[in-house]
Amino acid sequence: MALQVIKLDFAAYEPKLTPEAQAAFDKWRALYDDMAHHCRQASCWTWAGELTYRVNGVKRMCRTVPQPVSEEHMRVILSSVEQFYSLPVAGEENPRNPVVALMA
Amino acid sequence: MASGVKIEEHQFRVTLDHSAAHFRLMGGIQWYGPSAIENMPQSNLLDGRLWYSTEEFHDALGSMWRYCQEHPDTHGLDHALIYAFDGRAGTIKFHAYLWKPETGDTMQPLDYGRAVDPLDRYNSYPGCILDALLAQNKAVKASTVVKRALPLAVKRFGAGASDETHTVLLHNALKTMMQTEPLIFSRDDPSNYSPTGRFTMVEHLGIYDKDATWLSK
Repeated sequence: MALQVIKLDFAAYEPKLTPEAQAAFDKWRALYDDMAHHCRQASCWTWAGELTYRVNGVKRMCRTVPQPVSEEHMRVILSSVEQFYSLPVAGEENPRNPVVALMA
Repeated sequence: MASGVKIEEHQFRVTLDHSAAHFRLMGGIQWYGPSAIENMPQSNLLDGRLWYSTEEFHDALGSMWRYCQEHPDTHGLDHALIYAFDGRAGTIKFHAYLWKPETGDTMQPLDYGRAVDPLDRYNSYPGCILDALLAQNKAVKASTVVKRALPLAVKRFGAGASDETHTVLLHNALKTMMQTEPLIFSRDDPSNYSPTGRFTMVEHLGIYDKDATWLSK
């Protein structure tokens, strides 16, 4: 019985970004990827999934603006994702950071 | 903290009807860790999440694969089950797939049957019935399903039993599956040619769209 396999092309579904916008996105998401990683290590997969869904919100918004996404658009999208999804940010102003709570 | 979405078999039919009623494509991913109970791979559900477009599906799976590549030894993920409910044409199409971190850019289609023992998928009567059902293109009479499953049963474990024995056991397997599996759908059609006045038409909801057109843009 031959094993049927379906090939997935993730790159084809990525929104097109200019190099500057891509750099801004990668820089911005590093923190949240790290938080998701710590959540998963603490076996809190639901919160990590929530976090990933919110980070992917950037990609969803990128598909609604002209392609390739400019750095200016990316800045607007990143700030609105942070506000709209109220992503937690590490620091003294946010002592209830779930990652800090998990690792304590 | 929001809780994950657990997609259960008994919800398949309702979700399919819902997606067809709204002409939408939707689906879900269930992330599983290493099994907590031996021989039960689905015993450690970590998280479940719905998606509502092909892009969203690729985003969700792609970011998990990226995470697994960044942490190859410590990602703690075993496999994922992916379901797609495609109602865009107003008809119901169901898909199920298995995804593993080791082969992240591919996934494997699953034949869905709960009464079928996965460890004995091919050499059992429910397995023969499931193969016969999945080979259909539309609903057919229950007796036709059995008739088509008979050669499979004879070929796979035919020795030592008559065709009549096989037929009875296949009928029993089909009846059990019709009553227990939400993906096997049966309907009574009135007919003058049947002594009971009706035929039971059976179909498996996974037979539509075998080429996974929902995946293409």
